[in-house]
Amino acid sequence: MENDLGIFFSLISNTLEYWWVIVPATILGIVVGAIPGFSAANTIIILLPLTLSIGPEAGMIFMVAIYTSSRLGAGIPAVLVNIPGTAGAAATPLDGYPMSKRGEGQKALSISFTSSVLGGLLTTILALILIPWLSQVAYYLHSVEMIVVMLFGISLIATISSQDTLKGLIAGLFGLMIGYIGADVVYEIPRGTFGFLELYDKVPLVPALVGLFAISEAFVVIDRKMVANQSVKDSKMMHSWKQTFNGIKITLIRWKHVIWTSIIGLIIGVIPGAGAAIASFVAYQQSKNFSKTPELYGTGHPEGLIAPESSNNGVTSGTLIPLLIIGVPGGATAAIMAVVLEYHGVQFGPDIFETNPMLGYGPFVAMGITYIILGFLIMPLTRYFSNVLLIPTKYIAPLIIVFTLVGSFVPRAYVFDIYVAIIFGIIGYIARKTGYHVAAILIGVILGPMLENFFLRALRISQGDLTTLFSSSLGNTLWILLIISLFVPGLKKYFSRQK
Amino acid sequence: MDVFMSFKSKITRKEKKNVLPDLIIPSLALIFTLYYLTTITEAPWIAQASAIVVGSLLILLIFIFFIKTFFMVRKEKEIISFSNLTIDKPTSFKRLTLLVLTLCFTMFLELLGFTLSAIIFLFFSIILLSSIKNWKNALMISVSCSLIGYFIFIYIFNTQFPRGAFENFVERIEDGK
Amino acid sequence: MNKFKRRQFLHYSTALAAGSIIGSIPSIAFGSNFPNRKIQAYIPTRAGGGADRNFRAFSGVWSKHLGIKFEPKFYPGASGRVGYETYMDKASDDCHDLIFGNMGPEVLNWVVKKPTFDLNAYKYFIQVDADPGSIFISTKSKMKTVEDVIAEGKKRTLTVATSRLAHPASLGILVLAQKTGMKINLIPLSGGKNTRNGVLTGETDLGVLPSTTVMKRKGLNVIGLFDEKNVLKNKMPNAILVNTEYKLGLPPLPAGARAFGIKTSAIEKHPDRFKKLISSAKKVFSDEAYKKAVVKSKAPLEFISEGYEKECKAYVENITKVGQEYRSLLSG
Repeated sequence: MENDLGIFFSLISNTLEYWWVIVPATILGIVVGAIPGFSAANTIIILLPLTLSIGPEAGMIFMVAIYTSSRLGAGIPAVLVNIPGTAGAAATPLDGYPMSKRGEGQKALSISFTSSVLGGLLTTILALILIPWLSQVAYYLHSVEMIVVMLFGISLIATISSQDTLKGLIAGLFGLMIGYIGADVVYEIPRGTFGFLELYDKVPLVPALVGLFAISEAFVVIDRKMVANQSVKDSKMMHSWKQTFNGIKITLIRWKHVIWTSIIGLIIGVIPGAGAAIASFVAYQQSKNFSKTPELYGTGHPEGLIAPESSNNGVTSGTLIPLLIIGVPGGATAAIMAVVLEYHGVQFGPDIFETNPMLGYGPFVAMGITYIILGFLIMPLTRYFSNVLLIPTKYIAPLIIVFTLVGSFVPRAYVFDIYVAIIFGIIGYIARKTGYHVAAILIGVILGPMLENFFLRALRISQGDLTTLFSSSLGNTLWILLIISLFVPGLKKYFSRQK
Repeated sequence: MDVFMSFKSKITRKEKKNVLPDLIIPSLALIFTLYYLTTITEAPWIAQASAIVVGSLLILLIFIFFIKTFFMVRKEKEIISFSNLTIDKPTSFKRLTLLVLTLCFTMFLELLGFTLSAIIFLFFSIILLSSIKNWKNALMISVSCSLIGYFIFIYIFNTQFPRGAFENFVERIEDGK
Repeated sequence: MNKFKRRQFLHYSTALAAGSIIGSIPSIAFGSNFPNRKIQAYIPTRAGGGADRNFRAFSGVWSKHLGIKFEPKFYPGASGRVGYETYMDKASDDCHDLIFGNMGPEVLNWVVKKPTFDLNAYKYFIQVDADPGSIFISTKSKMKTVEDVIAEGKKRTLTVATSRLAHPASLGILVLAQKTGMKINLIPLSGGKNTRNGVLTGETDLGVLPSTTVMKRKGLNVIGLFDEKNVLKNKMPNAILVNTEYKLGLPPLPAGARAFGIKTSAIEKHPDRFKKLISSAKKVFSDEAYKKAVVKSKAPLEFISEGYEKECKAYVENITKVGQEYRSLLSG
């Protein structure tokens, strides 16, 4: 145990050496989080060339800091003008906005930040304690189980985060098929490469990411004048330290509330596909159900603000757990991190915590440090956020295109990869416009090669017998859960109709 | 949870939706999967298995989707129509032109280098998305953003951006020092 | 802040322009002051792997003696095939472009499936290490020695994790199986890490890999080496020398034998430059800084193996010969 603590402290001091990454990334994260419609994911993609050139550790810390702080930033417009900065803050205005309408904007922000920082910090520490145990699970997962886990991940993303399960599954499996492009690892036969040598080593992930997320987004946003679609309402923000401290006090008194709602966030974050938006609504609903004063929810009740904010920050650390332990990214941001780390040659798996603790535990330590910095930084900083920044799309769309396309050139210096990004951009655009989940496609592309390797391995061990997929009891249990999960959305619809 | 659902459906619910665009992704997926399967005919079974399993699952889902769509159209809940494929003509034109500009940017990127091609692309696309009257702003933003990009990515961090006349010019001035 | 040189830029555009207009500009030689731009090393594996660490240790010191920086470019895929094809296709032959590979698995690749280029069009000329192939098991395994493994393998088919089929370590275990009559099923897991995990999780009965990546790992036990001597007895106390113990009749074929290679046309065009590359590389091996760099890269000093054209040629010929003998077994 003493040894563990020693590692822990050296991790903290190692991470602190990257203060030059953490501090600017934190400020940047708050700002971009506060711009409605401009996600942390997009910021990370635009700055991808930097992330790729500063090495895996600094790159990971950079992404974690932006990701974490944008969560807090997103609360600002949600509370002040009723526009959530990102989807994760979608439940924040329910009680935050009524408060600021009453002229208690500063208090609302203060509650939101305090619960975010406390919830985030708590779940980060919890994740750090749990990870050594959780990572042992991976040693029990052989290739058969991993095949089911990956298909399970894809199907969860399809059922949870898409509006139409069928479309979600088609998107995810299409992604897997695209991920199968390239030469297989055993026989080295090129498959689905359209004859391009550039595709022998699988579809390059950075261009796929750039195309599906950024380029397609740029083509979608030009429909509107501004990045955020809503009209901005007036904010009645009063600067008052009294409100700020009052907000901190209100949150600290409800510490139990912070704890259990942030744990909801942590658990939901671990499930692939269920991100911050779902966590914050679930936490809001649960907090209302268990409240003694449910009728106050929606009128500017502090608990109605604490619940979504502490839970969506709980998601932040939860979402990294499956990525680091088994290499399955649970959502868009984790997928971006997977792409960057893949570029640096980092392979995920349980032994990352032994062989490279800085990459295994580092993200959580960086997250914790970011939360602490945020705790000190955001209160004074938000006093200047009385106006919400809106960027006209006529400028932002071309800028996104230029910087992300060049970013897709950086890893391999192939112009070919830019064309790959454009093709993925077109696919992503059509997908977005017609209700197919782009993150499901991307996660499919990331998981495709892994899934195929596990398939090859399982079949090679069983000497070509496909029934090996149903040969393990753990695997079979997972198969059953997978099938049940596919029917959940349908059943839910059926029961809600019965009511 | 119901709060969340209503939040979601608010965005999606439309009346008598034209489902033709919804068929594009499944069709692409179908064509690609069939093409992929033709490229593995020579491979040993072990190397075919995962693609065959996932591929046939995908094909099955696509057919279910097609059949579902067919019945929805027959029940007249949804329609198939070529006429209103593009909802809003002016934006569609802008989008296509932006795509062409993007392709031109890519083609000239190696010849001109990052900075020059970025200036040209940004200038024309900002004008495309606003109007020619906006040329002063467009010029200002395209030049300043490209230079900032050059400075951060190429000059300071020395990332692998495509280089051209401008980048070499600056380099030669520096070397001449 | 290291600025790119002009030639560097030209190189980028010429070497990598897939279908670009200036792809056809010939490389211009700038007088005889060699080297006049960064040395580009094509590495046919992924970044962050063993080859990467090895390359950084050597090139870091070499750049000091050559007076110019090295830049690695990684081309993983199809067991190195992509890297070699790209090198032969795109690299210039002015002695500034080298390939840095692992001779064993890569030459075995050509034995199994011929590349599109002529095999005499490149040659290895500086070998930097020699890492014997090892047989390893999980410490939780019931089997404890090579003898146990062979006995068990006569009762049932053992699954053997390996990085890839066409690999000297795979070759070693295949020969052992044939000589002793044990039955094995090789499971290629693509990369050292996956191979180790395959054994750690108990999914496969044993594994074969170059020894460096195995011996330090907790939970794994090296039980045999495909070599004639064990230079690291303190780190692999349980390893027996399989080649001699079971009279496999194999020449010493280190599973990790990393080396720099170059286009033969470059040697013919610029023999003076080629000489300079070799003479400066020789200084690296006697430089203390190199030893420090190797220790820092966590590779054992004992595996440093200085070799030039002659040694590389002998290795390639040996492995080609044995590979051809067992060709049918290597292609799965």
